[in-house]
Amino acid sequence: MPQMNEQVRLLVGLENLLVKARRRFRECEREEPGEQHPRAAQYRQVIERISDEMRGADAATFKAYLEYLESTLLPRMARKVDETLDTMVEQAARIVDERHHLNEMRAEYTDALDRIRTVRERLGRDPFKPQNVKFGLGTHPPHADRRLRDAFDLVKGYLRS
Amino acid sequence: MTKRKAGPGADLFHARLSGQDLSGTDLHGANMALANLKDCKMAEARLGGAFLFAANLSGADLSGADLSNADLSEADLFGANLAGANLHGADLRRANLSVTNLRGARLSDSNLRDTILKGADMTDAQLDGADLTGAVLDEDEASA
Repeated sequence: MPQMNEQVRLLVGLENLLVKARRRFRECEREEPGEQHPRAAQYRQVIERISDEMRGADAATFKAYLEYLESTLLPRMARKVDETLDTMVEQAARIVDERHHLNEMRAEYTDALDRIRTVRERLGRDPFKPQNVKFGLGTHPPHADRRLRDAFDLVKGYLRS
Repeated sequence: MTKRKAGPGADLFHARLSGQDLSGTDLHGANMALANLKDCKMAEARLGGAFLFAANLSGADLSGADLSNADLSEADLFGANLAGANLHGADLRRANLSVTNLRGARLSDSNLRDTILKGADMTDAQLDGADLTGAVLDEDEASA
């Protein structure tokens, strides 16, 4: 596992805060869409400012940070993608009035997937080479994408009926 | 760090103010998101509507402070003194309120979803209209 120096620790802390801020922004959007929520603009600003602070790190620190993420966070996130997907498929079979919940999970899924993609691409790695990114139940994103589409088709069909 | 001025509507985003004496200061509507306010003295401070998302307020003295309609979501308030504080309508979702003194605090209509309230003293606290969904209370209280 790569060494986690003080600068890397700082970036990891900011990353955690970024995740929390994104979640709050999504909650605001769910409560009052279109940035009408009185706090939405503040959360957007928090996201921008944290991102700016993270971009301010020097190249070596940023690379060490990405390597740290790759070795620690990505496997956890990959598991989360898989677990979220399992829950979504399960929910999809039941859902009628819980569209908001499904959208929230879709956002979490997309976020997690985007972050994995971004980190691996920045490190010059194949984003979804199965032997590099292991998923809890042996699935990988192409499979996951297909399952996601199936889940939404199921919900759409359910809502139309 | 650039010197930033404390006052109503101040921008104290990610500010490092731990241990400072801000008692009675008017900071209503201030942006204090991510600020480090650990062990700050903020008794009777006016923080109505302040934006304190993910702020570190552990050990802070906020007794008698006005935090009405403040956003304290994801904030760390571990061991803070909030006795007699006004938190009416405050958003505290996912905040850590472990071992806080909330005696006589006004928490009416506040959002306490998924907060951690282990060891918090809520004697005489007003909780009418508060949303405590998913809040983690003491094991004794939860099983009572």
